[in-house]
Amino acid sequence: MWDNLVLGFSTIATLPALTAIVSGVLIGILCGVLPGLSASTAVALMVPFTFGMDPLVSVLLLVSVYLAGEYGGSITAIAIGTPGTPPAAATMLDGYELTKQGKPGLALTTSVVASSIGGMIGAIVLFAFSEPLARVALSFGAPEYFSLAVFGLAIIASLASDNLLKGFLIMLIGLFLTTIGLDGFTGEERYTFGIPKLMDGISFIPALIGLFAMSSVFYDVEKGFSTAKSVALSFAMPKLRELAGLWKVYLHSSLLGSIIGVLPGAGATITAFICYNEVKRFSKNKDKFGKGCLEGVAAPEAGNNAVVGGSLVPLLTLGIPGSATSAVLIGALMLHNIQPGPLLFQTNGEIVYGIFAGLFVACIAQLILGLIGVPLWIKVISAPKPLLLSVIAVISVVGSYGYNNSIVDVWVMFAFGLLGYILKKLDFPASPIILALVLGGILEENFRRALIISGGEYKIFITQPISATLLAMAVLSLLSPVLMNRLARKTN
Amino acid sequence: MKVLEQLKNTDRIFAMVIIAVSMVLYWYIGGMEEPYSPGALSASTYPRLVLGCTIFVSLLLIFRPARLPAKSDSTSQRGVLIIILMVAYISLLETVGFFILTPVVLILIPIVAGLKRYRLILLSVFVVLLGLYGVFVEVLNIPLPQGLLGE
Repeated sequence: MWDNLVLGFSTIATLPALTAIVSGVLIGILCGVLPGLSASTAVALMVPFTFGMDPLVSVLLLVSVYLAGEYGGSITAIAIGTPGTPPAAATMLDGYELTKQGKPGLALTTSVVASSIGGMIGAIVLFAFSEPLARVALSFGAPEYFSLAVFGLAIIASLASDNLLKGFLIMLIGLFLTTIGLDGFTGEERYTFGIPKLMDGISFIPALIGLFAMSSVFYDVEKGFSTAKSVALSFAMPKLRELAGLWKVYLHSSLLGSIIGVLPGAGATITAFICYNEVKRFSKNKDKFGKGCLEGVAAPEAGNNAVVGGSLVPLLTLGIPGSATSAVLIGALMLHNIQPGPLLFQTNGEIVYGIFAGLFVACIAQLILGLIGVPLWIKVISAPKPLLLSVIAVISVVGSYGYNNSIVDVWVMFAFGLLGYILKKLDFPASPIILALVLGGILEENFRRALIISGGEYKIFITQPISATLLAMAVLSLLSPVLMNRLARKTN
Repeated sequence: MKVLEQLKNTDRIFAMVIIAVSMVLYWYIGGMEEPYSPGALSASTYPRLVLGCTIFVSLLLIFRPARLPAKSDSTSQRGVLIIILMVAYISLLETVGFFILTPVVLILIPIVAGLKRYRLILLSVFVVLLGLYGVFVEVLNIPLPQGLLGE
């Protein structure tokens, strides 16, 4: 185990790898700071910049953007009371209160310390659980992979929206889209409409860029823009004793965040609010929550950064994304011909352990850049958003074109951008479609393979113990929102 | 009348569109070759299964009791303009060329979005174009559409 850790650190001890980590953290914080640019959008936009890079360096860049993007949102939430990213809405509850009390420095420092500790604990969880889980996953066959994909999709559909049917419908649309192209079993064309480029199926990276980046351009241009409020730059820093006194909160929320991150689809926003509520529940200062309590800043920040390491566990060990952002990472890995899954530990060990080590180094870079860069980040908040939107639009086009040097991919990106925009307007969640695009192929392939193995017997999915357990968990996760609603109504 | 009111709900309209599209796609795939090995599914079975589920869930969305009015924003002129602008940009990209069209887009998007700081917009055009050329052409060696400049 320790040898692997040493391998990881020695793999990333190169100038390109370290530069990628520091650049990724800088870009991630910048994107997180800007309201409307989530960590997922930032990662999707950065994928085109990795086209010619070494696989490990590109993954390190994207993972660092992911980590720092989750943290960056808290700066805006604390400084101007507008969450830079959705998870930062939980941080805002107490963080902005502290700013109103003239203590933004206290909140901002607590936020970066908690985020970095959360990220490190997430990296430890990733390191500790990935290899054993990958060993278990080696015994998985077609029925198990099918049921795992069903479980992942069920959680995503049930958590993505307050309306289960909406989440489920969008997930089905995503599953259908993965059937476009040549059938992997028979070689027959499905829904290619005579377009040769569609024979390989829908290009995943342009689709992601469209869903994340282009849709936000359409949506945000329509909303118009307002100049951000000015922020006072002089503030007092907290004492080390105050920060150290929060160790229980860091630990509690980081572990909780890591565990939730492992579950497919849970994501950083849900985690941030769960951590906030859990810490509040056990706190001696319950009454101070919402009025500028440091624990209320530390809990969601530690939790949402710990999600990063947690969400990489299913990605690296099973090839299943733990969140929408890790779905983008899967796309980026595949772009470099790296197939995530249990075999990755044997075939590309240096990449896996390099990611562990890189996540650790990224947390340290985030802590340093977060502490010294606060005045700069606050200036970024007041940058005019329309300029940023035009840059996002052009990068989306050039990035999609560069994927295959094909205008068809640009149209795919545009179509998905339009779809994402319509979904946002109609209040439908977009994340199920993204995860369905990743899991759809796994689902169909293993469904059909399992049926061939069993000679057409559907019971193969329930006679295999792991497969049956995963299917039962899928049903439970679909029923849980309904049961919880009924329980809540009875209690009321 | 009550049914008509319910159908006005955007969720239901969306679900009806999805049903219509799914039915067309269900029919469009047509008959595929029957597989030889026992248990193997034909290439059309899985997509049809997914489309069947899509129609079923859409029907549930249409006929579920309306609890809350679905949130939907009206599309503003800006939204339509930006979509038309992007369609024109992508359509002409290969013919006119990336480095001729992109400055136009970089100027028009902020203006459509309501920014009136024209000097800043022009400065950003220069910086972004230089940055994109440096990264994509010089570093990543991605050939961007030359269009008129390539002839």
